[in-house]
Amino acid sequence: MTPDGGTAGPDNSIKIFFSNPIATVGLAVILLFALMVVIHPLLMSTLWSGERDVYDPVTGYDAPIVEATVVEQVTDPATEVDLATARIADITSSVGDVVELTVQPAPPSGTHWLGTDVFGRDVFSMILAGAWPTFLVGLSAALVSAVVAVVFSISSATFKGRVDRALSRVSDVLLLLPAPLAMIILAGGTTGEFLTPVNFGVTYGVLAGASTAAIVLRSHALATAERPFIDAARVSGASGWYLARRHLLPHMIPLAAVTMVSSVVGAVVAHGFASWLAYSDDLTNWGAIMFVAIGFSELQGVFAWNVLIGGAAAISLFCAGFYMVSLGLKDVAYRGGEQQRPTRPGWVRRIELRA
Amino acid sequence: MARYVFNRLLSGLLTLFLFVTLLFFLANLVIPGDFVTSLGPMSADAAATLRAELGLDRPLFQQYLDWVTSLLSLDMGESFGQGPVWEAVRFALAPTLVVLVIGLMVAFVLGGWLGRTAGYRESSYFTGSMTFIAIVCLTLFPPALAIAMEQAILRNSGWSALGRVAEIDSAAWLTSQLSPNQVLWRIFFVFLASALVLWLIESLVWRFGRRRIPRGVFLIAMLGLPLLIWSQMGITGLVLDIAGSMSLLILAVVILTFGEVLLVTKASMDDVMLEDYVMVARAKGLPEHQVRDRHAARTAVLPVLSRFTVAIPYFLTGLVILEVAFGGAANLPIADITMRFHPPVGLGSLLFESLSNQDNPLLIGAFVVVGVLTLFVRIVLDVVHAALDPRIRFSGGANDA
Repeated sequence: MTPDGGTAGPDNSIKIFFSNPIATVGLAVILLFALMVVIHPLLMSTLWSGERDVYDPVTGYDAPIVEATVVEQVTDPATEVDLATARIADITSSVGDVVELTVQPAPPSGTHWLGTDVFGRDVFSMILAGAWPTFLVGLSAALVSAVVAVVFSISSATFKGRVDRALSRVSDVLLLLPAPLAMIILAGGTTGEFLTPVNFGVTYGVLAGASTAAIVLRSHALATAERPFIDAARVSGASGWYLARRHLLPHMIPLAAVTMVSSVVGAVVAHGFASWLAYSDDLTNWGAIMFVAIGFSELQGVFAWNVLIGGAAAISLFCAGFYMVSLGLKDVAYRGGEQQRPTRPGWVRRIELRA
Repeated sequence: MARYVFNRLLSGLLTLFLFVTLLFFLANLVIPGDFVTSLGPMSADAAATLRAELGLDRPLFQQYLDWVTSLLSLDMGESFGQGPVWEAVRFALAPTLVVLVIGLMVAFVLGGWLGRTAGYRESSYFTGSMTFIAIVCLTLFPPALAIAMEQAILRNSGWSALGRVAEIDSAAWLTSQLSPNQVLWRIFFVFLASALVLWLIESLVWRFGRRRIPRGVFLIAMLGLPLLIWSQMGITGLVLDIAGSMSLLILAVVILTFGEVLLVTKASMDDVMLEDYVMVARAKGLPEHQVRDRHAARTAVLPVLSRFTVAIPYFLTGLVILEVAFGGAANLPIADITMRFHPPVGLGSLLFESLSNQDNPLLIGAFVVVGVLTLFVRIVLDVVHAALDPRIRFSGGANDA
């Protein structure tokens, strides 16, 4: 089922989706993150279970210990340390002593694949643990925004007139309040208690769904409602509700999927940034671990590159996965019916669809 | 056309009114506490006195009515800590506009050009790698990009030229009559005016000479004309100084935005290339670059335009995030050095500062400006769209806001 009214069934849609290599890679990336969600509790209960819970993403602690000689002038940083630094580890040390120093953040090693952060927590474990909250944010935002946008657009197309004007006014007003920005400010204003991942996603979904997504879907719904088969159904006595459910809704699904995916990206970046600013109580998400890495690096005098790169790469890759899938979904939505020659010039149709 | 523009403006005003109403109640009802609670613990008496002084003891609806009435006379009220809201907002608006306009222009030219070229070619390594780079740039986490850029500059002493201009050279400003903010406004208006003039010249040349100005000449003129005007105004040194201090932010905006422009242009180009009139243009024996730039790309630009009417608020958000991330880098271990990278205070800093002070008039004011900017750009793009596409004009604008 495609907006073009082509005959592309589900099989054909899948074929179109996978014929786009970018979309296939994107799906693989999302599956990889899904695997991370599954694998983290498994690892915690088997390989990573130990007496001290070294790998716990919130309370774990492990820091490699190196021995260094206290000297006045450091010439070889690998084996020597100055007095001031040594006294942080052991207040009684003096020049000439050998002190044991804990290294945190530690660089990647065999026991900690991505190293540890300033608190000595395993970065790889933290990133695995951050996958689930991110999915919660993204998926709840996607679902809610799609439902809101579809309800808005189908109501507009079915009832037209006043309902349509009122709803598009709501969309226009909310468009002026960018959802990611509003969510970041809201997170800061409510100091994190209210904004659990799901609440964040749902609120984002309402804001984005009623504005951007509704505007995109509305013009598509209006275009669909003008097509002959809707008139035919109406003439044969179909009620408005029946029309909306059986004739409009199926045509909205591909485009709704595209907007769902863009809400995922927006919500995840907004949530990441809110956590980065410490506007979230959530300790295990990717933005929060970057906040800790940067905020506390002054304490250690070392910049935790492994945490910053790990967290940023996780967020970016997550968003890139969904973005690439959206490219494939766009192919399904817009190209599905291309085997059939459209009755109107193609470019007119496409501009209408994208407007 | 005039009637379309008039209707569009009227409808925009109604939208704006609903928007400020929504903002007022959101800011006052959703965010717990008020300005007085943000000052810290104090006795109930003192708090009551302060509230009465600030007018916070009035019923919320009364506050709203007073605020909206003063807004009608373009008075955005007094903030609690920063003087008149409009002054603070106007101060923050200049750097934001300069970064946004220059950043988006560069991103559109770069992304549009790459996207056109990539969409015009058959699948190749060029197309593939362009798509890859675009997706990577598009999904970069903005604050991480900001930190990485700053660190790269700190670590490479060879790049210190860029780092050095990142601070405003105070000596030049001491002898000048102008404040940085005034210079920023001059940068903005001169840039905008020269873009308009060049566009006018181009359309006149097309109208009477049936010729197009080559892209390269156009770009050079776009850079040269503002520089000429600035040197006539005698502020070239100040302009370069202040532009240097914002170069990192502008670069970051370009990196984060051009990918999206590239992908949308490419997708739109892919579609257009299949059309019959492109084949006709080729069959007529026109040179390939003419087929690409005049026949295919002209139509391909329409979907890009309509896509971006919806995306403008997101660009603004990206800019706000970037600005705060660059400013927030003071947390870095080398705080005293990174302080130099503080961009001039823009809308982002204003938003977050007023949020942490619970300075609601200022917070609402900043959001109103974000909204007005978005609405303005949207109306302009809609009118441009209507000018390019007669169907919208005659249907009375089905997509009215």
